Amino acid sequence: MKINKGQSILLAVMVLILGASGACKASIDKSDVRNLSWAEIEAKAKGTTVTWAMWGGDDRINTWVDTVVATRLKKDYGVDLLRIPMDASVFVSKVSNEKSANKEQGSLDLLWINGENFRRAKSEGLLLGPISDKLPNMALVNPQDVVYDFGTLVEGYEVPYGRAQFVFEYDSAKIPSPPRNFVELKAWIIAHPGRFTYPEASDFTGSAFIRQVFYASSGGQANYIKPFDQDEFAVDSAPLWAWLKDVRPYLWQKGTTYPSDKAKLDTLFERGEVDFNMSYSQGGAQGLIHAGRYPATVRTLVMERQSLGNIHYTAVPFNSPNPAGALILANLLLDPAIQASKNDPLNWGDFTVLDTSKLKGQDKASFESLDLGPATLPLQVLAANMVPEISSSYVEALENKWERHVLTDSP
Amino acid sequence: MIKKTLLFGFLAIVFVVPVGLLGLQSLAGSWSYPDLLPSVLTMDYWGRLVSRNNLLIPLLSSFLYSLGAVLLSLVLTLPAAASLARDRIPARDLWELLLLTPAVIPAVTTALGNHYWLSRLSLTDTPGLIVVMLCFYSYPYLLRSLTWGYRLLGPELGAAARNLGAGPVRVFLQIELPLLWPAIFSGSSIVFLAAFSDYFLVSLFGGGVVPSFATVIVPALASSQRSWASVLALVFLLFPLIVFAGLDLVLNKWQRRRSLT
Amino acid sequence: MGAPRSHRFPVALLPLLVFAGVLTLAGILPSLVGSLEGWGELAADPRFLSSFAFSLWVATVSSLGATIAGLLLSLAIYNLKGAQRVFAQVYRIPLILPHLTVAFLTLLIWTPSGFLASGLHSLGLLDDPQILGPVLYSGWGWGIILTYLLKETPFIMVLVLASLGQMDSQLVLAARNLGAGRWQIFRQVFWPQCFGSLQTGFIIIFLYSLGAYEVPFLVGESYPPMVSIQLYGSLFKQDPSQRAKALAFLIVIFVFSLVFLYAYFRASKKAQNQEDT
Repeated sequence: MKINKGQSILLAVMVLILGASGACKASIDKSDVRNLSWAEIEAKAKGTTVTWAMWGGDDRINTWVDTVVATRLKKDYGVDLLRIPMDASVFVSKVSNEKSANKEQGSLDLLWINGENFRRAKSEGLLLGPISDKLPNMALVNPQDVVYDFGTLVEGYEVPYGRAQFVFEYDSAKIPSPPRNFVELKAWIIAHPGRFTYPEASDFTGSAFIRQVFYASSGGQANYIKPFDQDEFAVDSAPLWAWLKDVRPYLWQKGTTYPSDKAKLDTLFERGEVDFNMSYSQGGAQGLIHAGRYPATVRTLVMERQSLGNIHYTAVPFNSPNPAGALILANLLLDPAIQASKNDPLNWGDFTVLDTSKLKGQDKASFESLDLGPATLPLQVLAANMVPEISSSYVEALENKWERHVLTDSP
Repeated sequence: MIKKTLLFGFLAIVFVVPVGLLGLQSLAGSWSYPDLLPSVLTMDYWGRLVSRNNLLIPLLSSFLYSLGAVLLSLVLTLPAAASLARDRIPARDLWELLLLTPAVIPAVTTALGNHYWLSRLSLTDTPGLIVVMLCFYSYPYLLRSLTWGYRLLGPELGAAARNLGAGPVRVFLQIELPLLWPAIFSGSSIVFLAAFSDYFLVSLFGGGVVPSFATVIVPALASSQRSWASVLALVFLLFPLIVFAGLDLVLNKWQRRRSLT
Repeated sequence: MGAPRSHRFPVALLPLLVFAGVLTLAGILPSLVGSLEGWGELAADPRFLSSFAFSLWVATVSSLGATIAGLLLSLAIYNLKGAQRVFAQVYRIPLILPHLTVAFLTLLIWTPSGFLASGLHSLGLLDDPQILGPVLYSGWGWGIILTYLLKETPFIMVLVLASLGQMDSQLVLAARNLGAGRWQIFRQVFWPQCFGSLQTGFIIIFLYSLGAYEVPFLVGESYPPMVSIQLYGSLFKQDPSQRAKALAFLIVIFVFSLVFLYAYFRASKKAQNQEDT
């Protein structure tokens, strides 16, 4: 019995479709977008689509990007925005694979990135750059702010996007006098078994929590400006593992399991299964109160002089199919109106990376008139307790060792 | 009588109540312990379905690549199933087993390796590849169904028709296809469902770039937004249901018109 | 498609064979090559062994459970008639529910702040909902097991009911008339009829639950991770130094599955031969 003619034709059509969809990409444009003037970049980007890969774990951020940013991008520049939810570590691996495969045209145009993911991307040559000098809105940023990203020199390979700071969220009606530092936190956890937990170290927020305990348990962040050394780290991190193991039996589920990401911790907090949430978004809690997900009595707090603050960025992969569009978007994200909208707790609550002293008139007023709400801490309090991030080598070491020491119980 | 009541009670609780829960959750404005029923009911989340216009493309994309997987599977398995049912093949059972392995051996073992060389050939992140991969990992269900169908069918009718002068295409379309239809339909439904519901393979080979409804709903399912997730889960369920029901109706009509009886 | 022919090997099988063969071999070869340096590291790393042992536990419990439950439920409903028969069809509902959705349902129902907790509380049976905590968080994978149980039991039932449907109903009557007890009827009439489909069903759901990704992703605990989560995390989320080890682990799972499948094949051939004699 043979395949008859009809089936052969169908098979051939299938093969053609497969081949065609693989080959059906716009021809690769070899001209380097960095050599163009801004007006030329705008013209080139018009009518195109920009694909932006970003962490998709917060639906409010997703909605803000899909509505506010996308609308403005289309209106002012004629560019369509396609948002792809993807963890930073996943898209860095993806672009890294594409680089080893010499894939000259990838599928992502802009990446939301910082920290150890930026370090890996920059060191492997995965990013187009330097690019930030091309963007008009960079004039509104204080250059001193964007020299280092978790200890790696930025050198214009990524464009600032926002300013995050780590806060804890809790219900002030349930906890009228919450812990102020990690010593008090430990005592609180032990006194309230099962009511506290943190995401796994592989999650961005969980990793940040562990870093702060690291600082607090070993003399503070200032000790870690030195370059990473494996042996010194083993000594320095011992108090951290001790702290985490001491509180472990009093954590949620007796510390045998942890929420695998921030979204799962959000669920526990919102459903009342734990009493603390944590977030890099200073103004997010206020927004969640407004959205009806948090009771109105929720407040944020920072641990005394141990609150991690960082700037997060956007970057363009080396094989972006639409680098002109990517630059337009990166620049738009620095627009004062967009930054103010982002800063508004009703949308997101992430603080601005712009130097407000460089703003005038309406732009400046839009920041001053922001109502950050009672749940957001005053700017002075946030600034007074902020500590910068350390070299991302520490970050990786902490993430790798957490599983071994805390999750699986090696000494 | 008691036994029967217990039995039906058990069936209802285990198989029906969960889906009812999903429906109830989708209408819940606020529902937490210890309330047995939501304290606030709302149509807001269903309304969001209408206002969020970025769901249509993933839904359509999932439908199309699942359909593609079914068509490709049909093309590949129809001849093979006929052969397995009728021809004398040395070590036939072993070949049948081998052909069934892609759906049985955990997909993750071969998918990661396939992703490696396919990405180096720049074939990943395309809908065509997703069709091929979904077909590869689920065609065995169709193969089993068709083999069974062909075995039931037997070669006599086809042989008789050929003796009367009918060409192979006519024999297939007018004699065998109508009788094979139940096997084709049930096998194809499984392939379609497996493809439509798939998250791992689609996000691996599509790189997050090829739109997929499964990829859209996973972050929602893992989030604290249970009501919105329930709405999405119900759409995820209703869509294939409607497809099957519609298809069944249409093809039963076609079947009746062309039936031998 | 016509009269059977005795070719040495039919051409019609070739397209499918080539398609499946190429993708299987090409799927395993890169991992084999990449794993070469990882075998030593794999032996030294206890996490992979824990992951494998845990996955075997989850797969075994959920598959055995689904098989037994599926068999019992099938026996209970196979000769229902009329309206009762129609109602009993509800068992098919989980068949069309995607695994992701069933995992989500497990969360809705079994989390300490979920539906079951509320239900038991309303009945006055529950004070502290945290009693339900161990269901999803004990480290024994009950969340995953419960999800697979709901999803796979109907699958087994479809296979078993198909077998039972082909059985001559007179056999049961005859056996009863001859004074056979219930266990004897089961052993001599039902079991031989269903055994083949039970075996087939079991192996399919066992290997599926061993290696699938979607369900553990939604309802799995931090530790130990199921095989698929461990592999995906090692290969996509961690630095490249973990690759060789992870690929070696992948090969182990692949070989195990092949061996398991072949063992089943031999066992079922043996059973078939015994039946024929």
